[in-house]
Amino acid sequence: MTRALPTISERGVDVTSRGPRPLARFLRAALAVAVVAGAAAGCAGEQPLPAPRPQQVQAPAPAVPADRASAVHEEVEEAVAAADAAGDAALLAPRVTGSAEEVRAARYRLRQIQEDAPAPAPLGGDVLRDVVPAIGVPGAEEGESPERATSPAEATATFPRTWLTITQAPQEQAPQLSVLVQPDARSPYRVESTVGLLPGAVVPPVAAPEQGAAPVDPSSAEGLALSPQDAVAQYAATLTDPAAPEAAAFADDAFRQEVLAERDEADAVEFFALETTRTPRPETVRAVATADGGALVVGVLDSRSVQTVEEEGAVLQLPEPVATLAGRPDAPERLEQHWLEVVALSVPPADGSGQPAQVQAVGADRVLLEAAAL
Amino acid sequence: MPEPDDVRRSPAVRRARRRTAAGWVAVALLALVGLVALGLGVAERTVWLPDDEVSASARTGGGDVEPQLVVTAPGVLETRPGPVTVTATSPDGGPVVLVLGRETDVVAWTDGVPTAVVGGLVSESSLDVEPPAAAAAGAGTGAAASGDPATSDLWTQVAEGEGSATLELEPPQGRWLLLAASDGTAAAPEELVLTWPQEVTTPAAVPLLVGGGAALLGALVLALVHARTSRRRRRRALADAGAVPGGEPGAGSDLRQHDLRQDDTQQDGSPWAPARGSDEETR
Repeated sequence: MTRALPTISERGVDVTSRGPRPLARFLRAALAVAVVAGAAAGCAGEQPLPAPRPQQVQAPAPAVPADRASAVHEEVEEAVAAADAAGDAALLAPRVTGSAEEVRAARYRLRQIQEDAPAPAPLGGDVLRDVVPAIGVPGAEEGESPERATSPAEATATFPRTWLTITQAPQEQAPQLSVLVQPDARSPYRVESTVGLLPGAVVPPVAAPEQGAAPVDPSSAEGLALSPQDAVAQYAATLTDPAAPEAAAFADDAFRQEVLAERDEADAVEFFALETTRTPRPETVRAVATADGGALVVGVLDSRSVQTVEEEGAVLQLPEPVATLAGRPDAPERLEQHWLEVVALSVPPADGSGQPAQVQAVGADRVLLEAAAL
Repeated sequence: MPEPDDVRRSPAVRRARRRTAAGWVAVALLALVGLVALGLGVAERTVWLPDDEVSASARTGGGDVEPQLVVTAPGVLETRPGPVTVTATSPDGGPVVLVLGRETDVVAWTDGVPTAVVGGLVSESSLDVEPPAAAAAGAGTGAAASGDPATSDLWTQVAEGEGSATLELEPPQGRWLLLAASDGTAAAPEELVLTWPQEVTTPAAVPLLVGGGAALLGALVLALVHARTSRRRRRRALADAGAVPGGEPGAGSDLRQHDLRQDDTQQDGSPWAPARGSDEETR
């Protein structure tokens, strides 16, 4: 067709040739447009299959999304409130475990015997601070995006995960610091321990609240003045003996003052001897990194004391709640007590400035688990 | 008012006729091309318009080991741009759980449990499926069970249903995987369908519509011009052949009558024919 058109004008030698030639060109152009358009339409459907596009990894990232965090807070509050109301520690199981469960179970036992015994501090209320764990993505150090998929071993190594939260329940004086732990992927976060903040305590800020806090190996002193486990053990020694060599590493705090005052009081009485031993539970020590490179550490101590009457005819009058738990008002020979002490310590970073920063206790709680009078 | 035979048969007149006929064929062809292009353009926007969604499915059963969990490989949710809707179906109508989790969390959850991994597209409508490794089940001897993923604290989004569950999600920044399960102990849902929105483009429609319109317009203009030149040509040819001696002005009206008749027979009542009454002045 396009070929044929020029011949029309070529033949017309005896008449004006102005007309047909531009028209022929136009025709050819119109045809070309149609052909190109048709070809484009034909090609549109034949694209290669898109491949999966793994995204850049942002590390570290908070392990608990904000809406999940508030759901967990709610479930903790509900479980604790239900258990407290019923005095049944079994109701704690979905969200509370470890020393937190032990403490509440002891309180419930006491309240069964002695109805006016103080109720355990409620958990929940306003969340003052939420320090969710930050998980690094395996193989994604320094902003790299790993091409390969994460291996199961790498993934499971990100557990256990520790989440600290500070809550202020209404009508409670001291805010409560709770440690929630997710031991493995298929377990929920459970409150492992709770501790009331000491008056005037300053909880050090974490690196980036929106990113969470990096986990700290409780047994490692890397970058820290003391390893978290050592800090708890040495604080225990300091509580028992203020003259212990470790005492210099710890700043003064209200809990230590209280414990030592009781000890001095007991020492002042001549007719019985007091022997106290504190045993830290190293496996329950949890730590998260703080902004200054230090760590916030929570640990649990078993404190066992034995009071022995040394004077003939003397009798120990037992205060509450010891008498209730012991089942008698006095002890003619011996009183054995088992207390559980939960402490929160702010461990400073190791620095070479020569000015050794001291470990500061920011929270402490104790509850009598058992008492026996003989 | 018939023309004398010798005038009609003169070579100049015949040439003029041939040329006139060829011109009309060109006009008709151009108009045809324009109409076809317009039709194609309209069709692309209407009957040939592609679906605004594109789905791909993965069937997870059929391997040596029955999977308890189904996960997507990194980046599979982002295979096509835009939000993705995931539907998992269980043929026996049992419970179905769909969750979105970070890669680390999903991998940790699936550790030691027979898991099918859904990979990239193998065709427009089907996804690659890697069945669980036989070792994973052998080690657990069927005892390995992940538990119900629906209650875990790991996930950002959870959908549950009986028989099927659907999750609409916009994968956040980072590496996010989808995990599908029944209750963590029974066999995993058998089918996973991922649906993305599809950007519907009709790249040829505009060129076709514009080109088609232009071709039709061109045909119209060409028809007008051609009608005029062919009449002029014919008259000149007749004059050369001596039918109208000297082509004196007085004979003009007669010729015009004749030309109009000729045009009518060739154009078949074309609407612009009467407009050519003014040709006399512009000539």
